[in-house]
Amino acid sequence: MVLVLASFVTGIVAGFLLRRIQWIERISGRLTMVAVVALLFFLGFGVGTNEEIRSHLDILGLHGFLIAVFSLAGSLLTGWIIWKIYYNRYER
Amino acid sequence: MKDSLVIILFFLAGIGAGIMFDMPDSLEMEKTIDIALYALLLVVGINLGADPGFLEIIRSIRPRIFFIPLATILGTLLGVTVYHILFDYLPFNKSVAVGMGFGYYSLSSVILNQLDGEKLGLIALMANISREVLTLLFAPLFARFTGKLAPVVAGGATSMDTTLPVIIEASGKRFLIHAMIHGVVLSILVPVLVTLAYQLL
Repeated sequence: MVLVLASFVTGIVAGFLLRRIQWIERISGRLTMVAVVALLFFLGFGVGTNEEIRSHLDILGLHGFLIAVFSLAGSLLTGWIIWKIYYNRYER
Repeated sequence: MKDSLVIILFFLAGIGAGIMFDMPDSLEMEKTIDIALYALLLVVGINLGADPGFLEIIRSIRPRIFFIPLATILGTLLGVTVYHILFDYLPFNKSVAVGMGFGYYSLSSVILNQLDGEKLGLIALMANISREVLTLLFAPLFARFTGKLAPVVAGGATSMDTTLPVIIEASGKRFLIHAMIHGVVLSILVPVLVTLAYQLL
């Protein structure tokens, strides 16, 4: 966990310091894509080799979807509250 | 959009490969994935820090604008808590960790795959893809019934890129900056909040 956060913070600082070098942003974007597809391939691979997960794909998918729906509903509620008490009053 | 399709294709190809072939030396593989994950976080960070808009966005922030990502975080936490009480399918910390992906499905799913396993990685993938797709589909509806900030908070971390066009369409151009800052702040917080929720709750 510490390594996860440390890699990320190191990246932000390094990117910020090197921001004047033109190709840094483009290359890091490309590399991000490479790392993402590789890691999601691995995630898929893990799912494919795991019999137990494969036989419960529908339930796992359903719960993923439910978490999304409830997260959205909660966010819409709090978003609506600050819209009402804050933005609506000051920005009109 | 093209990127999303490529990502999904690789994920599906991985499933196919996993069904056809046996797991290679899993310890070796685990190490490889570990390194790939740290490399990913490093380049994602570099990309964020090197973004020409990064400094400008940080500078243009007035404290008030932080209420929007804060609302998204609290709202998501609230929603996931209700989900947890109703279904009690996953331990609370795992449910919250999935929610804290805020639609950033690539990052949240690989982090949770590594912290916990394929099962939670898969749920995170589904949950966060769903959040993005639902926002793409229903942003106008959200704006109409729950205010102009609704598409922004719905989009979560994706409000700075993939869902930005539909947010502008639904809420208007003057929410461009809100959506950008909201997306940047949440993108930075995704790795932090996902791991914290998983470890601490």
